[in-house]
Amino acid sequence: MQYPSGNGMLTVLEQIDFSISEGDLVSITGPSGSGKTTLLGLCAGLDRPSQGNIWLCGSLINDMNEDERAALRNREVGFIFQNFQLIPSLTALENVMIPLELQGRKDAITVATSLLKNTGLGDRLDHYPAQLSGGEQQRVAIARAFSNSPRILFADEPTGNLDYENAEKIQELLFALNKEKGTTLIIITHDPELASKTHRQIKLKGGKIYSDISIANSLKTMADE
Amino acid sequence: MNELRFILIMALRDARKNYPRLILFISSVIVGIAALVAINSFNYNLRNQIDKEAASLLGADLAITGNIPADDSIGRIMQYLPGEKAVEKELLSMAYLPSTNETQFVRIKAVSSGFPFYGKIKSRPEEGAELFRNGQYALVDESLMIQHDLHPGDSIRLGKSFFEIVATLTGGVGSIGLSSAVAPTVFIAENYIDSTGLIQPGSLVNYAYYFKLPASFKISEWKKEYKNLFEAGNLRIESIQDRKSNLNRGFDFLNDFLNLTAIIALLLGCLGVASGIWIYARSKYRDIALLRCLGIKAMHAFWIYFIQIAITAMVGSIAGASLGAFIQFFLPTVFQEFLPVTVDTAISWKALVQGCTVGFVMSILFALIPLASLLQISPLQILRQSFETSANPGQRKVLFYTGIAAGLLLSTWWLTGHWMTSILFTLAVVVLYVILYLIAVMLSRGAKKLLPAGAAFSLKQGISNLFRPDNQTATIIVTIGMGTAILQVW
Repeated sequence: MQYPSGNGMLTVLEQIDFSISEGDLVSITGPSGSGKTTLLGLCAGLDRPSQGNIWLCGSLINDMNEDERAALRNREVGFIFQNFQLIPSLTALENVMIPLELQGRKDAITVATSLLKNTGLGDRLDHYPAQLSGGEQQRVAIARAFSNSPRILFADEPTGNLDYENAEKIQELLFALNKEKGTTLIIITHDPELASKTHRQIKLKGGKIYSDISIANSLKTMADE
Repeated sequence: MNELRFILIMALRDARKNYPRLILFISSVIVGIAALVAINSFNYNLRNQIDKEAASLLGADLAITGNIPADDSIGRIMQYLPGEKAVEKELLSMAYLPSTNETQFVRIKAVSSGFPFYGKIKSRPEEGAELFRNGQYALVDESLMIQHDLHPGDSIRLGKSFFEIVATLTGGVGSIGLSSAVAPTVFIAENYIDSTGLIQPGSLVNYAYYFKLPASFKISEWKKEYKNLFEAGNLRIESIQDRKSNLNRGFDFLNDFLNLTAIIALLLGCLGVASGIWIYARSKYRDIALLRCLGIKAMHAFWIYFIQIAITAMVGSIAGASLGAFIQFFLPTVFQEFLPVTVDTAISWKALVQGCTVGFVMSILFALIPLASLLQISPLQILRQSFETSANPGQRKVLFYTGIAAGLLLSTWWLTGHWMTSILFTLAVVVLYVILYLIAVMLSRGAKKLLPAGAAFSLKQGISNLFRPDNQTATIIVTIGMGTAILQVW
C-alpha cells in the first residue's frame, strides 16, 4: 500500500497476503509505524489498496466506490476504537442505534436497548457520553459495534485508554459477545497479554508480516513436545 | 425514505446540543434582514400613501408653473380650460417681525381662493386655513412661529404691508417640509401681494396656475397638444401623475441607496455566518468520519448538517423579518418632517417575504462553502487525523462563489428593480472582496516572512495567529474592510 509523500510515494505495506476465516479471533501486533492502522483501514474497507486485492465478507472491495464500501461496512462490519468515538451530541441509546437506523430497522430502539442492558448500561440509556466514564463509553461502543450483527468486527486498541480493571472488563465483554454471536474479531493491539488471548497473532514489522502464529496450534505443539 | 428519515432524525438530534451555537451564527444576519424589511416596508407603505393621496400632492388636477406670468395667448388657452381655476404667486423675501424687531428670510405664497382643490392646508387653529384668505391676514409656518415666539394676533411685515397672523401653518398642501428650516412659508391671499410692492420687474417670482378639471377631461392628450407651446413660453405643465412619478423617482433613489446599504449589512452578517459555520463544520469532521465508518453516504452526512443550517437560517430570517416589521412602525415618526404625505404603517407582506427570502438564500449560499468540506471527509480520518483527501475541492469552491455572486445580483435586482444598479453593485462588492482578500493574504505572508526569530514570546504568538493554519485573518479583514466602506459611502 502506497501513499503520496513529498515528491514521491511512501510504501506503508507490502507483500501482505493472508486470509481470516469466519469466526476467527485474531490479533494484529507490531511496533509503532509498522502499518497496523493502515492494514486495519484496508481490511475494514475504509481504504482501497494501491496494489493487490482485498476480499471482505465475500466482496472484492477494489472496484467499489466509497458509498458502496460504506454500505458493505454497514451490513457486515463493526468497529471499536481506542478513543471510543461516540458522537457527543447523541445519548448512549442513540449512538448504539445508528447502524440499525442506517439499515432502516424498525426495531432499532428495542435491539439497542437490549444490547445496552447486556453490557450493564440499562440505566444509562439517556446519558450523553460526557456523563459516562471511560469504561462505560467503551461498553456503549461495543454495543454499537455489535448492534448490526456484523460478520466481522475490528477493534483498534480497545483497551488502550482504560485502566487495568476496566480493560479486563472490556476484554471479557468483547470475547463473550464474540463467542455468543460468532463474529470474526480482529484486534489491533500493543498489549501482549490481550494478544495472547486470541487464537492467532499476526505480527507486522516495517510494513511486512513478520510472523503469523496460530496460538492454539502453538499451545498444542508445546503440549505435544 | 429510510435514508431521509435517518437524515432528519440525526439533524434534529445533533441540533439539540448545538442550537445555541447555531443561533449565534445566524444572529449576525438578523440585523441585515431587519434593515431590509424595515426599509422596504416603509417604502411600500409610502408608495401606497402617495397613490392614495395623489391628488392632494398637487392640490389640483393640473398645474402650470413658470418664472414669468403666462402671456396673452397662453392665458387665453388656459381661460378655456373647464372647471375651477386658482392662481399662486411664490417668492422669497425678507419679513419683518415687529413683536421681536427681527427679520427672517421667508417663502411667501400668495394664493387665490379655492386652492387647494384636493387636500387641505393644515393650520392651528383649523379655521385659520380659510380665514387668511378673507383679509390682510397671514398663515405662518410653525418653525417661524416657534423660532421668534410668535402667536396669532402678532404682525408680520411683508414688503410694505403688514399682515395679522391668524394661525400657525402645520402642514398639508403647499408646506415644504424640510426646506421650511431654511425659508419658512407664509401664506397670504393673492389679492394682497401687489400691495406689498415685492413684485417688481426683475423679481424672482414663481407663477402657478391650478385647475380642477372634470373627470372626463383628457389631461394627457391636452398636455401632448400644448406642451411645446407652453415650454416655448417657459411654462411647465404638471399633472397628478407627473407629480407622483417625480416623487416616486426621488424616493426610488433614496430607497435603492438604503436597500444597497442594508444588503451590505446583510453581506457582512453572511460573512460572519460563513466563518461561524466553518468552525462548526470542522467540529463535526470526527463525527462524520465515524458515521462514514458506520456506513453513511457522504452526501447524506452533508444533508444532516445542511438541514440544521437551513432550519436555523429560516428561523433567523423570520426573526430578522419580524424585527424589521416592528422597526418600520417607528420610521414614519423619524422621517415625517421630510415626507409630503402622512404614512400609515401597515405590515407589508411583500417586504417580509422579500427580506426573509433574500436573508435565507444569502445565508445558505455563504454556509455552503464551509459545509461543502463535509463531502470530503474520509472514514480513514477516524483512524488518523493527518489523513488528507485527494479530492480537489477547487471546482466546487468556484461553483459556490459563482452562486453567491449570482444570488447577490438577483437579490439586488429584486429589491431595486434595476439591472444596471444590480450589476454594478455586485461587481463593486466582488472587486472590494477580492482586494480585501488579497490584502489579507499579503498580510499573512508578510507576517510569516518578516516575523523576527528573536521576537518576544507574546509578540511571536500574537503575530503567528495571522498565518497559522485555520487563521481568521481574511475573514476579519474582509468584514472590517467592507464595514468601513459602508461608513465611507454614508
